[in-house]
Amino acid sequence: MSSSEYLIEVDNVSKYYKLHHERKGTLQSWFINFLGRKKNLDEDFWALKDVSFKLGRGKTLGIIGRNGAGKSTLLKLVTGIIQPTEGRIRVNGRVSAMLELGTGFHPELTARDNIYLNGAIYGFSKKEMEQRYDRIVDFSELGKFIDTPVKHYSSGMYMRLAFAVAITVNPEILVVDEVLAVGDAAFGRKCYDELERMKKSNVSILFVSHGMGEIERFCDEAIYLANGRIVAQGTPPEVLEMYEQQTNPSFINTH
Amino acid sequence: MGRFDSSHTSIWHSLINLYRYRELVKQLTLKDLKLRYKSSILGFLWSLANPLLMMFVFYLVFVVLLPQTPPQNCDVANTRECRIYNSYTAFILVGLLAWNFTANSISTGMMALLSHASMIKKVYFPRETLAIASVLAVFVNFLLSLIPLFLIIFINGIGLTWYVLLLPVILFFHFMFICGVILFLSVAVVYFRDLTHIMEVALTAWFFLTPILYTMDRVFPSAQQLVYWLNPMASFIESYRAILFFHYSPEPFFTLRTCLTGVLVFVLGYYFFIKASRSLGEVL
Repeated sequence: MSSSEYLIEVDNVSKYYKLHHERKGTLQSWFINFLGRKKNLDEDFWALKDVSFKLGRGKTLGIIGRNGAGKSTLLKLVTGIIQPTEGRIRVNGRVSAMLELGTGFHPELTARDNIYLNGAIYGFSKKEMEQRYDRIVDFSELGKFIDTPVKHYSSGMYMRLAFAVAITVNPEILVVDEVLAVGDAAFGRKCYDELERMKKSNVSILFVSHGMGEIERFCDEAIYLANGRIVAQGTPPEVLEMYEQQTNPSFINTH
Repeated sequence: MGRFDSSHTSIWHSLINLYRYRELVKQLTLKDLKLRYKSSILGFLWSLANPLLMMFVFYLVFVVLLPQTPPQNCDVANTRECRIYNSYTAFILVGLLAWNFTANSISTGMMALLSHASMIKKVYFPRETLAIASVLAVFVNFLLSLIPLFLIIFINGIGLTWYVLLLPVILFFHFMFICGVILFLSVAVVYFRDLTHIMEVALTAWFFLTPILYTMDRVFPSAQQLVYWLNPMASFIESYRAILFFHYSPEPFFTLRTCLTGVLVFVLGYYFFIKASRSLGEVL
């Protein structure tokens, strides 16, 4: 088995969605549909088709693609939030993810409680989280708001807390969605410094971005996704060139 | 942690995984308890006060307002009926507290996945931890309420026997039974929201079809066995009563069947949960 070499192995993965035009999920609507023999309005949609890649230890893989290309679906698959329709995904290490805003905080709980709850999600005991607690509070710059329920947080505060937790749980794999755009410039720089540091300490990173500069600067490999398929896969300069060729004409037209 | 293989879906794998996530179950349980008692002055003392207050209500209703007809010859022989008549509030409380564990678990546990939708959509962890933690939180309350129950049992002069050693066994399998039910309901309600309304009515019916306010021989004199087979709660409550109230030695076959029902419902519920929770990240 070569499974120890690669932290993420994605083999021919496809993800199929039924597009529900109106899904109420009640017996009533089911009954009405059943009685009325309403034509099924659902559409089929492949969010990902035949995607394969491997991510080795300490490598950073950038994923680029336009909105709706399947990037978020791919990240959700890799983090186990959704399951593939076809193919197989193996993840051989602790994944910590930053998807959009927040990493599964409970809105009613304070930041303090959420830190411990999130720690438990990543498999840490209370004691292990106590050792990390100060660093998280420090990094998130939340100060006196640490005992406020997170439902009262601004999106910036929420993101800072999420990022602080995600990097402190000793991930072997870090999955970063384009969240870094939410914070201010100073915090963004802090986050990139942190990512740089994690890269050096052999953490594998799966990085999704619209920004070509970040992919070029950051990643060892890159994948260009369009309509759920891999269009290009290779070194960042090759992939970015392809991406630019295919997307720029339309950008020029629309701007 | 965070390791997974999308092709592993057996109960055995899930159970091992669940054990690895025991700290999460603990944290979620504490969170449920904390949020329940948030902004109440007495906090967890309510779990202790609740049975005592209920005892007064039952005393008012069933002893003062609607007095039961006293059985005959109670001064000569201490029959079953006499014991019930003499300690009516204790009789009802034993069954009612066990029932409340069931009913409260269902009404809160059923929403375990729906109310954590934001977490489920953002991060992977075994989703059954949510269902099991919600039952555990209610179970902790149930265990706390046993303290005043024992007090009431002593006040009524019933006392305890060695049969009380069987109590943890019945508690454990009752807990498993409820976990199975909640694993099933919590995921089923995601697909059929109407279940919340159905269960509201069903719980009321279930309450009256379970021997809580009465004994089996009073209401189902000829169909006792059938009711025990169809309604596991009847068996559990009968077991609690045998151990805590009547001090019967529980019948081995009866107890064995009751416990096996708990295991069976747990396995079926868990199996359904594993199958149906795979697409939770999409449908929530």
